[in-house]
Amino acid sequence: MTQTFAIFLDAYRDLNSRKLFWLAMVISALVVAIVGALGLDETGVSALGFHFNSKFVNTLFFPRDLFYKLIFQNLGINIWLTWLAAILALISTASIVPELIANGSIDMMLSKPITRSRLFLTRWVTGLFFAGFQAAVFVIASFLVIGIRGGVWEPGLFLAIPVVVVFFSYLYCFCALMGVLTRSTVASLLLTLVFWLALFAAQKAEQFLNSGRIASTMEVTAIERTIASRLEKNADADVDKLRVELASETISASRWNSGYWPAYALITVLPKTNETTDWLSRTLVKQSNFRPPAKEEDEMRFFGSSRVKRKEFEQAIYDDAESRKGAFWTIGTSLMFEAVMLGGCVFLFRRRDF
Amino acid sequence: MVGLSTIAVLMLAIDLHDVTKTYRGGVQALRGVSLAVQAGEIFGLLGPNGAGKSTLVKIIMTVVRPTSLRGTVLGQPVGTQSVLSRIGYLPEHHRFPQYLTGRQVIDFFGALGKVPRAVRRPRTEELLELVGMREWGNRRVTTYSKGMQQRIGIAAALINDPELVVLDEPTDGVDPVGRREIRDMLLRLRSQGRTVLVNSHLLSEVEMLADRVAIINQGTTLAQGTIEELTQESHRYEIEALHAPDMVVTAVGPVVGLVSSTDPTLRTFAIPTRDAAIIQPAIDALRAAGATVTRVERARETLEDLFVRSVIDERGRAMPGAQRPSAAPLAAPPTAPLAPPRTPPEVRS
Ligand SMILES: Nc1ncnc2c1ncn2[C@@H]1O[C@H](COP(=O)(O)OP(=O)(O)O)[C@@H](O)[C@H]1O
Ligand SMILES: [Mg+2]
Repeated sequence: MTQTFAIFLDAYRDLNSRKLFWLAMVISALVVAIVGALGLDETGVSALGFHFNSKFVNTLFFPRDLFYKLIFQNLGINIWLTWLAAILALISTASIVPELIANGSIDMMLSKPITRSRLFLTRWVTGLFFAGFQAAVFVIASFLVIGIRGGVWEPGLFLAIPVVVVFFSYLYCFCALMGVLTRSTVASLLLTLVFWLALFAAQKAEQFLNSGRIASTMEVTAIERTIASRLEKNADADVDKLRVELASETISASRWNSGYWPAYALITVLPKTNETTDWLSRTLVKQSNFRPPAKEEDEMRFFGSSRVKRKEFEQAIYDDAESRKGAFWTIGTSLMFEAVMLGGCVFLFRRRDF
Repeated sequence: MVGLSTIAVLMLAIDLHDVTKTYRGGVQALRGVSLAVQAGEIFGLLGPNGAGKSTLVKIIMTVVRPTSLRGTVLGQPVGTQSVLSRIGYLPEHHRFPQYLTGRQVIDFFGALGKVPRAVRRPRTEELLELVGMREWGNRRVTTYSKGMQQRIGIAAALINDPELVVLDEPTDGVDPVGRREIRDMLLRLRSQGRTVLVNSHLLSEVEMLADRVAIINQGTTLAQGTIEELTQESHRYEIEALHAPDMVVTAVGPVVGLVSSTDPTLRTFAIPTRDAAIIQPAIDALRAAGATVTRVERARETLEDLFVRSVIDERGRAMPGAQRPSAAPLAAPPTAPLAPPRTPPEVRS
């Protein structure tokens, strides 16, 4: 306990001396303060004494709490916590592992009665802790804004804190491993950003292939349904044409599938950054009522000539995510990857001569 | 501490055999070193740069993993975590985190050494006083000179009230006054019943302090023992004579005369004995051969002579045909306890 506390205190002093941590904190506070300063009424949005009339963004169209909730979700989580603040947190904590290794006093630390794995992991957790502290401050402030300004208290929001920490830990364990391997803060930071981009691309590719696969499968079903109804009504005028269409769409669907499953397998073993954010969004929508008001009579078609309606398609995507991309697949498998990387870090750190 | 020193007589604080270390990349830093440090003594680990001194110390402190090793430190196998809280360590070339003050450095390492806060507080003050850094305790370590960092390092090494203190080049970068203070500090540590292992290339300093020393070179122990033991074999008589033959035969064997570098007619015969009777026939023989004896003198090596000779012998052996400096004395090699078997050095004239 004495040792753990000392390592935390040391990490805090380190971060504190670096100022970046506080800079991120100030920006966080500013973001929340600006959102809190926004007011919503029947005619539009007001901020700092100015009023902006809006036909869409007003209390007739949005309940007031939803306005703040959607800002929290789209700006707070999807942009701030999981992109900008995450980058700031990475920058301010990337040095923790290389500093530990290249530190002029590592000899003295290793000569203390603390195992190397504990020293390393405690030090790593300090970085996570400070990233989590920033997320917590942001989420609590948002909770207050939604409560005070929106009039609804949503403790479900606090789920965002552990999820953002978990999200950050995917990147941070990779950063730690690169830190152990390269001993350089800058190199490990850049490699982590590259890794993050690669994860982003892999997940986007999976999502793209998935929507193609789902759309194509739905199209096949729709054509089959049309053929069936035509045959039922004995109106088999263009059934042959439909059968040709069905055949080609079936081939297309199987192509989408054969492209999709390898991508799915790949991201199953990788940490899922986007998927984690999406999972959080879905959960917040379910738990804390973040769903924007339904657009009435949305009969738009998905693709130009598609038989599938956009609404049905979006519902299918959502159902698919709900059934296959639950907490275990999204977060559990990512944590397994993380455990492997941390195991690698500890293995290398234990074997290293200083 | 009274209890400690009683046990001290009975046990070895450090008892290591056949320590080898091959770093990744193939550098053989240690090739079978043995080290026996008695509890309660100041032990000097000597050797030229790159000899493997720091590697040996780091193995004891679990900073470097040995390739192979037998033996114990404070009665426990090397690497036992609980033992580490009884050892204080000052690494060489240490650089403390720049965001810490001297006081914070001491406190931090105390906490890592599991010293409770209530004990740490007063002891930090005592130690700052001891190393003469009280006024500087609240300044950042970045503002310190090398010597001041070294003092803070020594204080940090002592925060856990260690039984064994391991100091790697403690006087590195310290001015003469500071060195003297560090020497006094080491003597005080010994008088408190602690065992001190100092690692240094500054021989005269170690000679003043150490109860026993080990000389390491290229990863092997060349000699180990008290300074008295290591140099006693070097007691010798030197006979200097003009126009002398190459060699005289004495009761202790044939001795080849070394030609002086300034005067080719002058030779020096070094006869490894403390007994004046033994050299009389040699003087007679020289005179009978027509030589003029110009000087007869008793001599004994200093630690530095011993060190230089040990290291140069070793080099001579490592590189066959290497020229030995003509000034090297011809005494028989010291056969100290634990020293590896040695072949007599070849002599070229
Ligand atoms: N971490 C390391 N990796 C590889 N070689 C090393 C390392 N540390 C020391 N060495 C090598 O081991 C040998 C002994 O070094 P060292 O123990 O520092 O000697 P000393 O302290 O006696 O000057 C040297 O040749 C040195 O280059
Ligand atoms: Mg050294």
